[in-house]
Amino acid sequence: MSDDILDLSLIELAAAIRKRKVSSLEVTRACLDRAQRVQPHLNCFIAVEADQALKAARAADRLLERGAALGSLHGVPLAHKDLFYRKGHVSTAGAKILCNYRARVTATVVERLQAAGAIWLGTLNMSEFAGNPTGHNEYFGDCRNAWNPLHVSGGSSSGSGTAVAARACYGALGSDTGGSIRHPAAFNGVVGLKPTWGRVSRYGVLPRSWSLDTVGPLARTARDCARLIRVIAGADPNDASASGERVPDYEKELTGRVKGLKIGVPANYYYDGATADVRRCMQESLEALAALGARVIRLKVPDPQRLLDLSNAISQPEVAAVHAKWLRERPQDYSIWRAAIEPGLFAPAASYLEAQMARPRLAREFVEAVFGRVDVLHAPVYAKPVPTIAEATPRGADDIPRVQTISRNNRPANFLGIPSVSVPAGFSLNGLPVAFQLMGRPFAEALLLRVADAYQRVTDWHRRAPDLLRYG
Amino acid sequence: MTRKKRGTAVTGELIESMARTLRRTVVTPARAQAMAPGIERLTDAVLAAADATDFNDEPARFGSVLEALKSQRPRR
Repeated sequence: MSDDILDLSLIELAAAIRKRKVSSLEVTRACLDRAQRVQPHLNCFIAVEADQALKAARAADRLLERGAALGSLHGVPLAHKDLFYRKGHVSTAGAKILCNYRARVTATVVERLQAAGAIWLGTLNMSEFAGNPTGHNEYFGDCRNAWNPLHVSGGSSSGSGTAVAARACYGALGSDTGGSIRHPAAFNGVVGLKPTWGRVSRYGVLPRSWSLDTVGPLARTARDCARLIRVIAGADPNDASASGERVPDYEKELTGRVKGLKIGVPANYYYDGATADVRRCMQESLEALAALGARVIRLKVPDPQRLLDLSNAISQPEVAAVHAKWLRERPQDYSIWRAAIEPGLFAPAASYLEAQMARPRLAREFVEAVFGRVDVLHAPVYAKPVPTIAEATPRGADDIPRVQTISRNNRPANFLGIPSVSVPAGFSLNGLPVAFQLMGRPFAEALLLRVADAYQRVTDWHRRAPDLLRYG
Repeated sequence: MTRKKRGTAVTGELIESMARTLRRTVVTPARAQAMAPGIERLTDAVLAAADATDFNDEPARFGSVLEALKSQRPRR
């Protein structure tokens, strides 16, 4: 029975709890049992908070019995990347330096999830300081891919992708500065939504790069993500960058209709070095959308390599500023990925600001050139099969740029500030998931989720689960 | 990554080199020498201020802080 419950989507589970077909306590126990079984093999959790989760689940069930007003996530077990603060609780950011850091505030997104009735199962593994695209972590141990533990989970929200795929929770928050939601979602065969910059408050979230950081959900379906983003999005007096743009009812927008929509396919950059199996998955996903009535249009997009370079010109000095004190005082407590932080110390302030000055103009140019012709842009999250952990391990500091190319298709959207959703689209020859991403105009999350949901109505990639029986 | 000791001067040669390599700009040796003390003063001020910061201190919080401060009353 437990495993059957775990195959439900977040939306299905929330409905089952509401109808009392299953209790929050029962499902929380099932998640904790699954987490315990997979953890020695996948290392997706940093801390499982079983007692607290069971207590919260019992409370949720009592509220239901009393007929209290229920939030849209009532009794649903979630777990989150370990950089979302809860006052008084340890938040490690996957780093030795913060292994005992107790937060002084609670993140706005955490408060909103709690208010919606979600259960907090524990904190999830992540790349050190949200800093690498693979999920490598020297201090807490590497998080592993749910489909094959020899392969990387993708980072930096590594545990979020793996735990959702392993059915140890129904959804998870991640953060995305240069692909950190989309990599682990894509590599583990789940959906990950990087929202528009400013759509979701970043208050109480450990910073990586303020100008590029976004917070978003990972879950098994686009519909699950629609539920989660509605809960966490919106203005926040504690975060001046959080937009006051109206938060739509994203689930209502999931009409299944894509007829007449124009889907752009980039003729440049995004398919560089693509393998035949990934190309096949991309082509088949486009054919599925075309069969639903969408029009596929090939177009050249404004130079993404330039956008990637400028995103680094912004992120590197910002990351270096966040870490400057520790780089002086505790350099020995970083992993090899410290080498990705140090260069930002030496970028002139005028160069950083020139990159910031160019950003609005380049965002306008890109959006007008691309989304003036098509409704959404479709591209692979990663144009090659998911690498093994060994293949993606830097051989030294000088090898880090090679590993960072994993994020090349994702960083441009962060520079532009536009939303992007990663959607499972099949498997490569090595048996690991492949995903496309859909990018859109700022605040077009509803449209992206509508297209992703329509695709998931006619495909079953998101229903496939890794073989977890091997873990007993 | 060790902290610069006070008295380790920012030199005109360093400014000249940075201008040439990082900004593709020509600065004469005399002008570079003249700018060096001012740049050192600014750098020292930033490092001293940074000692009091926390890694959660985001620049954009400035707006939120002004908003929060507008209605605070003087302490009695």
